Amino acid sequence: MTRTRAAVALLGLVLPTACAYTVQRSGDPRFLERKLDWQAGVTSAEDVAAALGPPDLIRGAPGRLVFVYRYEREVKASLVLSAYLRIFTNERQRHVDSTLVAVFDDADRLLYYGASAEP
Amino acid sequence: MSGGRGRRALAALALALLPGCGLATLTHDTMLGPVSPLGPIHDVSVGSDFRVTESGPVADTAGEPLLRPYPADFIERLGSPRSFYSLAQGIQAFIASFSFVVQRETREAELPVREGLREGLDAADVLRLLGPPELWIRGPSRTLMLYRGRGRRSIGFYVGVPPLASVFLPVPGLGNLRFRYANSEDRVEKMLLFFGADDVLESIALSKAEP
Repeated sequence: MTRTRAAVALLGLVLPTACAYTVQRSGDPRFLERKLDWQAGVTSAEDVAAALGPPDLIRGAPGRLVFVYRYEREVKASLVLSAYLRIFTNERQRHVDSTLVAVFDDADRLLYYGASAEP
Repeated sequence: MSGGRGRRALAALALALLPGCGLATLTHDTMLGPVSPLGPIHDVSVGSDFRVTESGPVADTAGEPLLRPYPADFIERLGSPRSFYSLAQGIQAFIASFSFVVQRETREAELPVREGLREGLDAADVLRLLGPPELWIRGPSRTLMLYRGRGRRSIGFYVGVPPLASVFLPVPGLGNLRFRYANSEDRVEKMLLFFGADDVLESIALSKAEP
């Protein structure tokens, strides 16, 4: 048992590790967290803005108003084992890019909408 | 004799502290000043309207007695910070203020001042109050104005063997022993104003104040 511990300790000294964990976020994830039960022709642009806050992007076109909500999250994790040289490297990266689009008519009533599924 | 001396010292200490935290913290700020790892603490110990912001605890001392034994809003403070978010921000600010392995950067996402903004104002008044919007969409039945303020908040820490130390310590690869953590968030505070066909402000939508 003692030898095992000593071997593990020695291995820990000989193979120092380098770890990194980075998280980057932008946007508001409320549209992912809430159940959206909007109805076409009933829900207004004001209702949507009251529920989710102002959109990240607004596009106006004749007869149409488009609200776009976006949320991005990127996580990077890496582990490096080294003894003079790098003998093991593991890097993982996960990027989530979610979008909600809601389209309204001239009277600001919802025509249709679509959202990325929560990953 | 020794007991008497101890009692006198204790009495002197009690007399010194009798005015409360006001005298002690004012002395601390005056004597140690900017070199103290705690930073200035007198304002938060006697001031009113105590709150925890991303820069740490703050309070207003205007019109407050500087030697107040305890803050006027002491009871309210027992309930502060009002949320775990504020508490976490305060702890982060405190640690980052003296730690040399923690890096913290905060840029506030500030919207134009909204004082006086209310439903019923016309577009001209809103423009006068807030200035030009970032986006202005006019339609036959409504007008939208979007204001945005961008900010960034990041915190990270790095723990590792300093480069020179790894040269002098005969452990293979010791210089590679390190851990790094970073968390950053781009924040956008938004305000969307809905105007009716007659350019009268009908409703205001705001992004939430805290993530």
